[in-house]
Amino acid sequence: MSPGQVGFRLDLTQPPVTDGPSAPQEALRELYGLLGYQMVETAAFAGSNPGKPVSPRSEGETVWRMSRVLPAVNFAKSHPLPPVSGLPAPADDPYAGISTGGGQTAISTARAAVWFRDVYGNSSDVDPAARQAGVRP
Amino acid sequence: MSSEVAASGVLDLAVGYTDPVIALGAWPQTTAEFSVSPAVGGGATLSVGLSFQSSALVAAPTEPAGAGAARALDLSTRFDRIYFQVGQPDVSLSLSTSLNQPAGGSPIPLAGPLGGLRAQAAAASAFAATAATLRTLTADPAVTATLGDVVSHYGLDWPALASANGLRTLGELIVGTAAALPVFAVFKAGDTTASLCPPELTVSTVLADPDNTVLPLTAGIELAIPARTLTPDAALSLNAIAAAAKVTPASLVRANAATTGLLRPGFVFTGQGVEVEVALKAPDSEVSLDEIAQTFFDNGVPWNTVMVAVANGETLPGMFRDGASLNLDRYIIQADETLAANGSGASLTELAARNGTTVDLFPAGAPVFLSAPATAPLDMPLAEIATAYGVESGELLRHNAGAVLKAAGVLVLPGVGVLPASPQTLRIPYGIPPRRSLEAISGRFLKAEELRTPVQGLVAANAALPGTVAGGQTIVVQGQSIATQDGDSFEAVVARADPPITLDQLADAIADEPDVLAPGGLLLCPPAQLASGSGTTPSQVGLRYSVTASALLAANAATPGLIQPGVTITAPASEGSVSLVTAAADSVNAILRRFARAGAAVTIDGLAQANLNVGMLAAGALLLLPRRCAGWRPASARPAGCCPARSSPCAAGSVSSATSTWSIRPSGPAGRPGLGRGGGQRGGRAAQHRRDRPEDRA
Repeated sequence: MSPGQVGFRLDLTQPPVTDGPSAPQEALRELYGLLGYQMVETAAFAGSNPGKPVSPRSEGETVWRMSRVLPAVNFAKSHPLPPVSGLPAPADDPYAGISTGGGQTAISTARAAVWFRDVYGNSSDVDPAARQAGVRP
Repeated sequence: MSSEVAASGVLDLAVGYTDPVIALGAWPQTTAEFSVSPAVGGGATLSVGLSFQSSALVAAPTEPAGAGAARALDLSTRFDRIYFQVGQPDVSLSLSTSLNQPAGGSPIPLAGPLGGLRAQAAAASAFAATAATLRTLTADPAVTATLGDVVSHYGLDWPALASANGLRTLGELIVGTAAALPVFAVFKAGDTTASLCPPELTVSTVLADPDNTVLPLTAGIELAIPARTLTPDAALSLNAIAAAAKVTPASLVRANAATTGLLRPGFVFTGQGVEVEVALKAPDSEVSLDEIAQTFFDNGVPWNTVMVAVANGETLPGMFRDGASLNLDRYIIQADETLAANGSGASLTELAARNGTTVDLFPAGAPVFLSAPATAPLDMPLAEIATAYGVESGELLRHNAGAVLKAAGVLVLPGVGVLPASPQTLRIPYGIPPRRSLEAISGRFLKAEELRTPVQGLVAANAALPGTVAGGQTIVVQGQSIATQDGDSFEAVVARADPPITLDQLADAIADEPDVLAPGGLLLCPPAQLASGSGTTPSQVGLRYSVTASALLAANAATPGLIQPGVTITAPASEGSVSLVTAAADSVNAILRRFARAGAAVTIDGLAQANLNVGMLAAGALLLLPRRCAGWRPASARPAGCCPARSSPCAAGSVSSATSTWSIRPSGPAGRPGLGRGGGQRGGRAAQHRRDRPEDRA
């Protein structure tokens, strides 16, 4: 993982392939086979807009794998290095957000909200920001 | 993995340092050294220093500035990463060394301040970024009309000029429809110049060509010279006379074999049991060497004249009489002699006319220039011509020295790089010396901002840079007293003011104060400009900018306009008494090349030391500055475990070996992903270079 990146991975049981009609639960899982995500604001990182949904990738015959690397550094709230002409811009600091500053270490955390989506744009949940605003799925 | 999945979820993702720290030993162009010295009251003081080799970030003598800039850009990227790594607020530094290791125990880490490393990383990053902006300088026909003018004006040499323009064609570089293509013949053992020359060439003309008159001759071979006379000391033997005259005895005999009246009456020649004495009285005493040889022959000894004479070459007193006038027409070539420079006493024309058939005149492999017909292809790159025609591209250009340059911006000048059009926006590091005011510093650099005073501009440019203001000072601004703290930036001081003040007000208030700036701190300034009247010797200029003369010249090896024209500079004494006069638009790189071609292997350090007090630098030049070596001393200046068995201080010479390990890591809780650490290697005596290696991956 490059500096400034965080990632997640989700493994799902692949819905069985059948010749006839699928069971409702399996049909739903097959339809909602995309993973939506967005970064949620934490003490160290700002929230983001929803990203492009992640498509599943087959791992063997039974597993769907969904993974995404997020450029968390782009959402860091603090940049410890000073802006000085002639030196690299603080915004380019790949370690921004890791330290909370003040010479004391506290483990920063980035947070991602995930949900399922279908190819038509329907979600299994609204995005977290909308939920915080009182929107119900 | 589960078949029952919630409709949505929130993932907490721990962040941390995942890449290895770039250990000190892997910092580009940086060397670390440490020294151990006795401490007052016992124990020892361990000091660590870092120095930055800036010369690798500017063009080498034979390459275009763009090549150096590309290298600087690459290093700039690496220094940026280092700057970000050591700049994090939760990173700490410690040094583990066997110098601080109790008997039977493990080294006790010595904590150290990171400020020096951070400043060094920032300085290197800024220098590299500025060096990456250096642009290639090209010849302008309005200044230098011909290729030869370019070489003499800039003090360049032909191979360097050709190397930097290897991808250009002659048609791009010069005016005209034809160019000379030099033709050479390689001298082989047993060759003569005449045997190498095609019939249409005159051998003497070939030998007299400037290309050939500077070729080293074969030492020990005899040159044919115009006949001259020699009156030797009659007491000397034939061999001694020949050695003194730098001719072989055989040649001396041949030149005088038929001359009568030379031999000393009473001299006895011996050979194969036969003795022939020169008669005591005339006319029988007036025999020649040929006649002596004939006498031997008549008595059954089949020797020629040379054999007879040489067989008696050591006999004393010698075979020649007092006042004898000997002919001399040969000269033994001494080491490093050429047709143009030798001890024969003959002119170049005389030598060229007489030595066309001299066997082995040149050593095997010598390229003898024959002619330069106007057949060079104009549409082929110089490098390809060199390959296709077996001629060095520098020689190709030299044989077209009179060719007129076609246009500006085409012929690349090697080893010089010019700053961009607005250099005041660039930044170079400047290490703050003790007791120097902002006013004194700002006058040594270009003005950072047009709309501010030089001091205000310098303060604004460095407003957020920590460690510029000395702690423990009280600054009075607009009637308000503000206490400073260690590590303060200008911005931090302004932020502490109540009621608020501006940066410009702070700058005006402290402009002349010599104690406000933190000694050893870092300022980032526009390029320096050498002012007139401030001294032009490397020593003076180095002192002015708090860098060594060597570091100053190294950082500016490719700086145009730095060298004063017409100044005699010398090579170090170890290279012999070699000196040269600087060219109209010389550079350090060009000077080093010219010394090298004169046989003196001069380094930048050697150049600086040999000319410390020579006024060789030109006022008005824009300079790049490296930061002076950064020093670092562990928190425990007296390692507790050093030399535990000694009651006296640990002297430098008593440390025979040591192992040191650097460690730069987050100072956070255990289990936290870490930056990693750099390992050391075995060190040595008091001052040893040592390197670290990246070791861990968190």
